[in-house]
Amino acid sequence: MGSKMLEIKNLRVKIEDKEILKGLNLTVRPGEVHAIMGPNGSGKSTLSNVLAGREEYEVTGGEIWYQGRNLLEMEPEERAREGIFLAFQYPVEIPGVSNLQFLRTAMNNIRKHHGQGEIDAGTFLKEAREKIKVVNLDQAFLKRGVNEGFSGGEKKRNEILQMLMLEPKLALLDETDSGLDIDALQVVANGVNSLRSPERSVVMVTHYQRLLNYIVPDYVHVLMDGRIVKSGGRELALELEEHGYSGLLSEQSTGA
Amino acid sequence: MTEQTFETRSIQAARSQPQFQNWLQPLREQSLEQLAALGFPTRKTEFWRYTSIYPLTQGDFLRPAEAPGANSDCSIPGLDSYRLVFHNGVLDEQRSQLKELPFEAIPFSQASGEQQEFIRQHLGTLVGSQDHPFGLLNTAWLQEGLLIRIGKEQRLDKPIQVVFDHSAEHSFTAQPRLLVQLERHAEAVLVEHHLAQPGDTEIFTNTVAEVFVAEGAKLTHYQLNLEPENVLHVGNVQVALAAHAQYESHQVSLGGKLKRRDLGVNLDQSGANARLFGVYLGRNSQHVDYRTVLNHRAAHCTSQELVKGVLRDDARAVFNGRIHIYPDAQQTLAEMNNRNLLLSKTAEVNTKPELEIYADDVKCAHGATVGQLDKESLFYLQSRGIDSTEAYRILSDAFLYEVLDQMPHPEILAFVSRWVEEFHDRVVVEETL
Repeated sequence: MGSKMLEIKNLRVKIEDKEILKGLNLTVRPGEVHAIMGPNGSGKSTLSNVLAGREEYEVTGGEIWYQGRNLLEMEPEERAREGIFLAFQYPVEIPGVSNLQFLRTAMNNIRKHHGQGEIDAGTFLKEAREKIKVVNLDQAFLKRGVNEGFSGGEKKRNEILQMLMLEPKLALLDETDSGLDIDALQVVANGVNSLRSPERSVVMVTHYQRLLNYIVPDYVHVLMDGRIVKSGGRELALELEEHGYSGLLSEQSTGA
Repeated sequence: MTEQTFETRSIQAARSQPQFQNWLQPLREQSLEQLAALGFPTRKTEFWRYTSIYPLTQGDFLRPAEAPGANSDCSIPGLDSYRLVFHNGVLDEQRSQLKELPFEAIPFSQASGEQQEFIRQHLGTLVGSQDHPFGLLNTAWLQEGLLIRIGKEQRLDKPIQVVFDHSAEHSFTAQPRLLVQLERHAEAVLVEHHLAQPGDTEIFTNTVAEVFVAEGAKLTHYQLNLEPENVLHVGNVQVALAAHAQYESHQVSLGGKLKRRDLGVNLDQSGANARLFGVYLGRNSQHVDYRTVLNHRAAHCTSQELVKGVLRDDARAVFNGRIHIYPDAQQTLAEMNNRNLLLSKTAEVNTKPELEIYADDVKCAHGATVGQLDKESLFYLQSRGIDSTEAYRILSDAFLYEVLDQMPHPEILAFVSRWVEEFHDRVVVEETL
């Protein structure tokens, strides 16, 4: 097999003295799309937040390697500049900072990291106007404060807009599908699918298999109680849909 | 050697200032008496509870400047204005445009009979009634003043910029005085621009402006307090609004060893409207005390106030905003907000919005907050590749510019932005978390 995009080995994470991830293993190669499914409280969001570098989570054991580098030694902004993008489950509202200003600052930070000059204002604007069409938001949203007064669905689409602009190597979707109607889900999925390429990987964390109808994964993992308890292909999600997590659990215990 | 109190020394110093215009002597003497009766504030004085005048009592401030030092650059790039300059409290006629003006700008010492009469009727009437000893000190000290009058239905083509510049080799006090009137339906922009040469020599400036806005007239008033840290500043602006008059103020105050700003607006007749926007910025161990009083005395008046403060390092700020609704002020709409952002664990704010309402058909709201930068927002920006220092800048600017963006003059906004940038210089982000 080729090089590894992401390799997580025996990861243990706690927050406020409570252990959430209890020895998680996951390997993602370039071009792959992985879905991580699990019931509430299984540690799905913890995983995506730890990958993005949120400081409240304490890594107590294990390793995370991203493109051959020790991810745990990188600041959140460095991770982003090296190509990691987290689509937040609950995107933050930042009144007073326009979407355009925000996107441009982010892009220029990333460009600078790679030794490139600042993006030309005209080129940037043209690109933003094109890409906001993909996520089906009105052009006016570019000038509004970041997520300020946006509906839940609009916030999720705005996350995808940022992803399209920043063109990450590893996109993490943290329950991006929750609270979306089918139209919005299609828009979000189109955005993600348009980024799929042999060089890019996607890890999507979700509670529902519905999302996987629109973004078809290469691998599905079931996360329960801080560990990946089962991995498989697309069909595993359908199995889950039919039998539920508890069904899987009983199968696990009888199998053991 | 006998230690005299600051009070005794101030009164003596004010009394020993030369006779200025005979016709103003009675007012000076009256103010001296009032000052002697009132005294200077202690920590027990409610209006001065969080601000000590101690630094003022420590220097040799109670004398005028002997010779003017260097001139500061008082231009605001891109802003064309009618400029009038006080240097060390004295009108600098060379740097001021006093001729060929479309309005009156007359030093008190050159006032005509009619102007003297106007000054006598108005000077001290707004500050005299307050419990503000420094306002009284200014009147008692009076050596010159500037009368600005804008004729009825006149609309000035460019702002009036009144500069208060300071520089000297020794400590001194400047006690400049402004009296402003907009006649019926006049419109003007007034920019108060306070600055000084930085240095080790401490200076005490005590400015007073009384502003009368007649029926239907409109004044936009900038108050830019950009003095360096060696200036101890007390400033007092009192405004009287007639029917349907409009007053809009934009204040920017940097901190200092001692800085106290008082802004009082009297909505005396029906339909008057006041909008107050203010920003104060404190760093190092600076102190800034920011005080506003809105007196709603008549029906159908509206006031809106938004003041924000950002404090870093060990800076301290005080905000005290008061809205007083008198019994006749039915149908009043009044709204006041004070928000503070603390960028370090050792910065401190005392905020106290106050409402006193004696009318029953009014809509009033007030709020005050003190908070830190939102960690979630910082992480969100970082997760998009923006480093923590820049993320911090973006968020604190977003906080401040909600107020600053209200300025109708882009040149002044750009000018102020440079000071904001300088304020943020070399901030240590870790402190904020």
